Amino acid sequence: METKQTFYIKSTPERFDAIVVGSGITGGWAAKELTERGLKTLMVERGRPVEHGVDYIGENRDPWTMPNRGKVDARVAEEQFSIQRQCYAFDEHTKQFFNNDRDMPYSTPDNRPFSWIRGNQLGGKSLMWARQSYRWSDLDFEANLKDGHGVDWPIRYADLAPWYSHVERHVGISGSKEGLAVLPDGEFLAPFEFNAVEAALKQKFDAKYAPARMIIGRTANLNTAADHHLAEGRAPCQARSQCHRGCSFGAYFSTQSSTLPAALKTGRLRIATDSIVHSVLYDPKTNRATGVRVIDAETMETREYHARVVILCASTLGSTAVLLNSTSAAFPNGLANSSGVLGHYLTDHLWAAGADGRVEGFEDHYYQGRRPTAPYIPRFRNVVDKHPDFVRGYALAGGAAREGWQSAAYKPGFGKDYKAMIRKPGPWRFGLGGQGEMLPRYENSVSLHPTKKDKWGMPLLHVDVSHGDNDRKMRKDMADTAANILEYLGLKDVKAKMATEEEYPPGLAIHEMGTARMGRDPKTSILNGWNQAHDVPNLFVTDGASMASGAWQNPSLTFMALTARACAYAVDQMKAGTI
Amino acid sequence: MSETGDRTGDPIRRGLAEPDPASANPMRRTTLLRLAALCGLAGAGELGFNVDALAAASAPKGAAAAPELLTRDELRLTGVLADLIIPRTDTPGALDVGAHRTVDHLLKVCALEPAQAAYRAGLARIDAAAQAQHGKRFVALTAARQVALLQALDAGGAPFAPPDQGFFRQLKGYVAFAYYTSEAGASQELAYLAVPGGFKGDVKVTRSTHTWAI
Repeated sequence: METKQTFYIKSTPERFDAIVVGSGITGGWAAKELTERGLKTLMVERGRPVEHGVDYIGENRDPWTMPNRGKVDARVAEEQFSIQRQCYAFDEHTKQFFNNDRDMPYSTPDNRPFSWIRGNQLGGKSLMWARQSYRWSDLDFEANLKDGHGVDWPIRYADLAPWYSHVERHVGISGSKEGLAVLPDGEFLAPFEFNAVEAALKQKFDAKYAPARMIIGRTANLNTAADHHLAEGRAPCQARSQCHRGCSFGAYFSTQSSTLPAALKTGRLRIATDSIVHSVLYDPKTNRATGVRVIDAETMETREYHARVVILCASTLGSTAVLLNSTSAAFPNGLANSSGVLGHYLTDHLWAAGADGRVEGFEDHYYQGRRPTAPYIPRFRNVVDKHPDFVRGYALAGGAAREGWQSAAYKPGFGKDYKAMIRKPGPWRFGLGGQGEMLPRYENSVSLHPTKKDKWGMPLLHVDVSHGDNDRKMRKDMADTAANILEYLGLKDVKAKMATEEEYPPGLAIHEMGTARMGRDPKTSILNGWNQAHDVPNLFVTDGASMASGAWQNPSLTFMALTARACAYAVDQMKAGTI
Repeated sequence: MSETGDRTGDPIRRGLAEPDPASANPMRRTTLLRLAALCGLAGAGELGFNVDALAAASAPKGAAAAPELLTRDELRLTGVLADLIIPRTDTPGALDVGAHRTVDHLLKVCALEPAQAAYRAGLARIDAAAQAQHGKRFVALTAARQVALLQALDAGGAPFAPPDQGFFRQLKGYVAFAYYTSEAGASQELAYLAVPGGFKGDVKVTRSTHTWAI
C-alpha cells in the first residue's frame, strides 16, 4: 500500500478519470469499484482524515478512564452538538465522529423540526452506522407503481440481486437464510444467536403469526470471518458492541475497514480531505460535468478538481445540496434539475413507536458478550391482506435483555440488600420498535436558504419535512401491534410507546432518502435506472438521494448495491465512449 | 427505635466502632489498597476507606481537593448518602470508590443548571428533615436515624412528601452510575468483560453469576 503522503492531495493539475464526492458507505464503494475497474479516481471529503485504528480515540476505553464516564459535557453538547446529541450513538467515546452543529447549521420551519445527523470525516457515517443490512424485494420496487405514491422505480429486484451478492461478499453480512419473499436471502456469514428468551418468544411468534417470522437481525459484523476478510486484515467480531467508537479489529464494515484499503491497493486512488464541495462544474457546450469546485475547510481557499465523470456520494441531503448550489444559465435551479423535482420527495423512516414489557421466568438463563444486532420481524402489513388505514408497511425490531444497574434508580430500597439485588441479573424485559415506510411526498423537501450562509459562505440547507396522514396511521399501528404481539407472547406490564414528532423529529431514524430520485421519466425524476442524471450523462448520484421510495428496511446495503452497479455501468460507458 | 446518642452516628466513627472483619484478610486489604491508589485516595490505612474518603470530603480548605460544584458540606452529605445507598460489603462501596466526587464532577460538567439546582434542593430537604425531626444535620445523626429518614424518603412518607421520591431516585441513579462505572463497581461488584470475544446466547446462571456491568 502507498504511504499517506502519496495518496492525500490538495491542489493538483491532474485530470482524473473520476471524482467521487464523499467517503462514507457509498463513497467508499464508488472508490473501490472505479479504481478496481481501472479508473484514476479522486475522493473528495469535506471532513478530516481518520486513520483506521489510530484515530479511534474512544475505543478500548473503560468507563472509569473517561473524564466524564462516557457522558458528554453538557455545555459542549448544547453549544456544538445540539442536534447530533439526539443520536443514540453520540457520547463521549464517539462525539469526534459527529459534525459540529454550530459550524454546520441548517434551517427548518419553526414548527417542523428535522434532526439531521451527520458525520464529518473520512469514512463519514460508515464509522458509526447501525450496520443492519437487508435486501429489498419487488414488494418495495413495485410499490410506487401499484399504489401511485411516488414515481415507478426504473429497476426491479432482478436488476439489483447480483449487486447485492457482490457487495455482501465483500462487506460480510451475518445472518440466517429464511426463504422469505419480503426479505430475500443473501450471501451470509453465520448468524448471531438468539438468547434464551428470544428463542422461546420466536417459537411462539412464528407459530401464531406465520408467514411473519422473527429472525436475527442481519448485520455487517463478521460474526465469523471468511478467508478473504482475514486476508484483508479484518478479524471476527469480539461482541463488544461498541462499533460506533471505531473497531480496530475491522470487524464491522466501514470505509476504513473495507472499501478504502481495497481502493488504495489499486494505486489509483487519491484523496482530498478538508475539501467542501461548493458545486459541480458544468460545461454547457458539451453538456458534461467537468469536475468540482471546492472550498478548503481550513483555509477557505477555493480550488477545482477535474475529471471525466462525477459521482455524488455526499449523503442524501449533502449530494442534493451540491446539485442545488450548482447553478448555470442552462440549469438555473440546480444541476440536472430540468424536471424541477430536485430537493423534493424526502423521506425518513417512521420510528419511535413500539412496546415493551416484562418476561416472567428464565431466571437461570443469561448471555455472555454484547451482540451487535437484535431480533427483527420483517414486514407483514399489506403483504397479503390489505390494511384498512394505510398503505406500505414496517418492520419490528427489538430483543430481550435482563435488567442491570441502569435501572437502579427505580428499584426500591437502599443499602446492602439493594446492592445485593443489583449484583444479580434482574428480570428479563423484551421490546419491539417499528421502522416504517414514509410515503414520498412533494412537499417534504429541501432547498437552499435564500439569505443565510455558513462560515464557508455556503447557503444553508432549508429542510421542511412532516409526517402525512398515512405516516401517522402507520406509526400508531406500529405501537398498537407491537403491544398486541407482546400481550399474546405472555409478557407482563406491556406498555405501548409512541413519541410525538416534537419529541422525536423526522431525521432521527438517520435513513433520509430521496430528493434526487430515480425514475423512468426525465420530466419527473433526476436520475435514470443507472443512477445517471437524465440531463447530464457523466453525472451520477448513487447515495440515498437517488431513492424513489424508502421501503421499510435499513437502506445502506441497497445504497451499496446501487453504487457498485452504477460505477460498473459508468466505466462501461466510458470505455464505449458514450460518456 | 431508641436513640443511642449521636456520638456513634457519624459514619467516620461508625467505621471506628465497627471494625471491618474483612480487614483481617491480607488479600482483601491488598486489593483495597490498590483500589485506593487507583481512586486517588491518599493514605488508606487500617480503618478502611470510609474514613479517608470522608476525611477528604470534610477536611478544612486546602487539605483536600475542593468540590467542583457542591459545597464541602454538600459533598460530605453526598458521601454519607452514597455510603448508605451502596455500602461496603465484600466489595468496596460507593464511598470507597469516591462516588460522591464523581457525582460532584458529573453534576458540574454534564448537568445543566436545573438538574444541579434540583439536586442541591434535594440535599437541602434531607437536611431540613433531619433538623426538623432531630435538631441536627443529616450527617450528624446516628446511623439508625439516617436509615429511618432514607426509608421515609424512599417511600415518600413523612417527613417527606411523595414528590421527594423523585429526588431519591435521582440520587440513587447518580450514585449507581458513579459506582457501577468505577473499576471496582464494574469489575468486582459486577462482571466486566471489555472484550468478550464473541456472543453466547445462553449461559447458565450460577451462584457466582454477577450482572454484566456493560
